[in-house]
Amino acid sequence: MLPLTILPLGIFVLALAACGIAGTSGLPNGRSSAEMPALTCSLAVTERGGQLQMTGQLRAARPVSGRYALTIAQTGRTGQNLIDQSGDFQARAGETVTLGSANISGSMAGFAATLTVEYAQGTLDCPITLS
Amino acid sequence: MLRPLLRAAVLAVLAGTAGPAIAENVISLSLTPRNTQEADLLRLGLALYAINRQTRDGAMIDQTGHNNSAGITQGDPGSFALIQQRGRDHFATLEQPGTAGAYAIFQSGKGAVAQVGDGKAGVLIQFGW
Repeated sequence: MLPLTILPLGIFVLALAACGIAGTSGLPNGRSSAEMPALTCSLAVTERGGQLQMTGQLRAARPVSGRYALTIAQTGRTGQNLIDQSGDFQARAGETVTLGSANISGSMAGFAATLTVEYAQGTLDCPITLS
Repeated sequence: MLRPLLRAAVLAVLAGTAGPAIAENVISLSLTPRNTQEADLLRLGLALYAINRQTRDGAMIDQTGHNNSAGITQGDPGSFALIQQRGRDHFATLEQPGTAGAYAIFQSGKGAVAQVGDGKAGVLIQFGW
């Protein structure tokens, strides 16, 4: 027969386990819906005919607003370029919005760019997609 | 098709523009709209140019030659900025902190320098030698 002092400890352990199961059930990666990112973003870069075309895009999972900053630097045969774009954005759930666009003559050699989004949940560095 | 329209818009704004300025081997012609109608006309012209170059808004730097330098700063996604450089040793910076800006800088020859602090609406054409 177990000593009486072990009984409360056992109940406490069982309660902890139950809380853990309730906290993760039905949600991916153990995250609550409030923790899921409100948006995804990317900077699409296309090289065509001696031109680099860049478009920043954001897709909102929930209504979201914030600010973005797009910086593009390019050094090539014809010279060097720097483009800074920034502004506010607002998107409805499911909406895709454009966050700046730029067109520079040149190639991917000597090209660097960053697109950063700031919103209520924090700051997001958007990945660059090449095509 | 778009070139005549752009030319007409520029010429319309040119009608009320001060004569060109010449300094240090660079001749500059600045077109600044005097009223809302001229500003709208200029925006239309630049928008047509942008569509022709497959750019709807944002920033565009178009260079040929060598040793050129260009920088654009924008604070509003609805603005349009263009820097076109032909030749060599040109330098141009264009800032558009406000909303709905439309400005273009065209540089050709060599050694032209332009620094536009508030590119609300206008065109700057420079030739250096």
